[in-house]
Amino acid sequence: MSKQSGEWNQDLSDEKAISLVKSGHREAYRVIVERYKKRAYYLALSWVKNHQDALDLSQEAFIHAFRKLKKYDESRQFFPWFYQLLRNLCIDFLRRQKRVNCSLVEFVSLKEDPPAQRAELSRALWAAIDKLSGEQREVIILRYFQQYSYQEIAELTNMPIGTVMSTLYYAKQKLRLWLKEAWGNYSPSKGES
Amino acid sequence: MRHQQYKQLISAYFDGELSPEQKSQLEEHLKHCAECRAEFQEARQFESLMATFSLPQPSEEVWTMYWSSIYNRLERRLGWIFLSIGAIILLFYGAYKLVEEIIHDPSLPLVLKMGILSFLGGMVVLLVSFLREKLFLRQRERYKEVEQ
Ligand SMILES: [Zn+2]
Repeated sequence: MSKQSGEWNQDLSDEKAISLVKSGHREAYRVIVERYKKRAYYLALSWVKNHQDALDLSQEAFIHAFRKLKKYDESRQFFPWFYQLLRNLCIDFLRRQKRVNCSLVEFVSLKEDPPAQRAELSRALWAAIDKLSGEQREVIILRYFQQYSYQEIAELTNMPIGTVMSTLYYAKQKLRLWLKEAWGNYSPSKGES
Repeated sequence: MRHQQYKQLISAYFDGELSPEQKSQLEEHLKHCAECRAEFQEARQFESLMATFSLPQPSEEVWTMYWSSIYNRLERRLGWIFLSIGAIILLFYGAYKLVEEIIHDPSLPLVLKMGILSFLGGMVVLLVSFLREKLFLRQRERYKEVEQ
């Protein structure tokens, strides 16, 4: 049943793809999923903090979105709308979750074998990000690992831009403080004065 | 503006979010304020550190399987819905037949009939309640939250 890739043009706009899906071409949804899967995954990861749950929840969110597509207003951008679904699923999941909260740190595996120092710094950083509040962690992930602008973060999180700015500021201050505590001077290789 | 606000500007500066006016305002302040200059240096150090990190990547396979996994889940769920509807119909039909038979069986003592009927009735109530919780309440609750 499932058609293979290449059925729909990858360059199809969100709007086009969605209106195709709405008119019964389920496979056009693939364009949307392929386009946003990584973002969805990493955003889920910032909430649930482990690979398997982030994968499951991000996929679940795409399924939810698919079901609600009829109600989706095409004048809105797809991703912010989708992100609301994803985020609510994650928060909901965390509320239900009975097992002990896992930590981002466990998830860290560095691609290249870094010097031991760097691995340690990396652990310290993730442990610090882990300690942030949900909102702060979210803006940090969006800003540093997704490279979103304030405007985009505001759209995704429904925060006013001013709040994005101050939330990021306080989150960075905390990270700096915790990194210093954990690491002393946090810039082992770079001799910046 | 106070130092605190300039510090927020410094943070926004490294996020590339300052307007030209804000930038020159900040630069002007930095000329005169050692405290904020120190903040600026620390912030720069922090930003250059953050720039060297990336999130760990899941294996390529995860990404290639991503869509088909969603597609399969969509399909499978449809299958489950049909299967459940069918199972419910069969169960109720079976229970109905059984009840009919028990009531009309003269060889069974009344107490036993009542016991069996009560047992079956209890099963049905529990089943319905369980299904309602699993299928409907949970879904609706989820959607409610999602729709906020
Ligand atoms: Zn100052």
